[in-house]
Amino acid sequence: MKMVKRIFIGFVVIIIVIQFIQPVRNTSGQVVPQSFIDTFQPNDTIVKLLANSCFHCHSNNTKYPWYTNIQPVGWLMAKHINDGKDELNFDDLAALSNRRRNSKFKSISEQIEQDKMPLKSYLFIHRNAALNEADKKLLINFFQSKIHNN
Amino acid sequence: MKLLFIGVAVASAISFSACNSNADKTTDHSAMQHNLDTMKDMPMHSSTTSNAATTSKFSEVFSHYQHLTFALANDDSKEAANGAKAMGEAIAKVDKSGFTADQQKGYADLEADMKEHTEHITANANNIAHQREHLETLSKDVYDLTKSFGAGKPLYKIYCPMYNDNKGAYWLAESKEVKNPYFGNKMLTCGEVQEELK
Repeated sequence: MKMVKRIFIGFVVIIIVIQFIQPVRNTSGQVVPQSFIDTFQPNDTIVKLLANSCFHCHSNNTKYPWYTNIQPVGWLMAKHINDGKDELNFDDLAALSNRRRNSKFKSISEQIEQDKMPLKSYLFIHRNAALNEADKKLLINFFQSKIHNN
Repeated sequence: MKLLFIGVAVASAISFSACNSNADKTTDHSAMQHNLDTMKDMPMHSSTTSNAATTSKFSEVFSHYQHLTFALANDDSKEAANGAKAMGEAIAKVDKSGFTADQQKGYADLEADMKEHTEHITANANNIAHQREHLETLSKDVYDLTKSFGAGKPLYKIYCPMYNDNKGAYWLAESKEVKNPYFGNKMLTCGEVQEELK
């Protein structure tokens, strides 16, 4: 029993200590990626959908829920955002070549179409980020219309 | 104290469930590492020697691309991942000396795009449909590469009108024989030669 108590106390100490290790925050201060909006001219509905379902992990500005202040949740979130931005960052799209934009837009359409994005594990916690069929169609049509060959 | 403990338990449960999607990714990476290790024994360093084949700076890129399309035609997604991995490495090793400024810019663009597609194909050894989606764009890159830099040997552009809900897609092959990488066994011979590249 003494052993169990020690392990428990050790565990609690670790949890407390890791609270002081806060990951760097992904915040640019820009609520929406302006260069993306200027270049690709999405309408307000599209912007709203993207802001609600995509930009938190795929842009330079994340809106952090309160529980991300608790570790290791915050670390996990930081990793998700890093991975997300590696694949696609809406703040960088405007600077890409036509070829690279086309590739990104094609992948975005496919990921939305196949319900691969937003991630199921993300939707589990953020139900309001889910896209319904009409939302999906709007987004897919928008991105398809931005694919220009040549 | 009890409350804190429960809180911690809940938090870790959440973090584990959120981590699931990443779990397969990491295993993929370790599998990739294995492939990389076994491939080190293969002779793949011809481009670094001065007596390299005079055909094309891209002959390795093409041959691994071919490897990839054959694997997909065989419905073998593991082998396709190997081919894509090797292609990605060949792309990074292409000798850019002698490129004009325009060619450098053009190649950098193609390189970045091909790199992204080969990485996705490599990382999706369990998802052949996704590999095929990336093959479609990758093939366009390889086609443009051939158009800008030459193939060094005859290549055929083969078009299958049925892929992706009849939107159609093409691939490139060294022979006219149709081995469809988009459908594999389901429709192996769907496709027609559209163009001969040199």
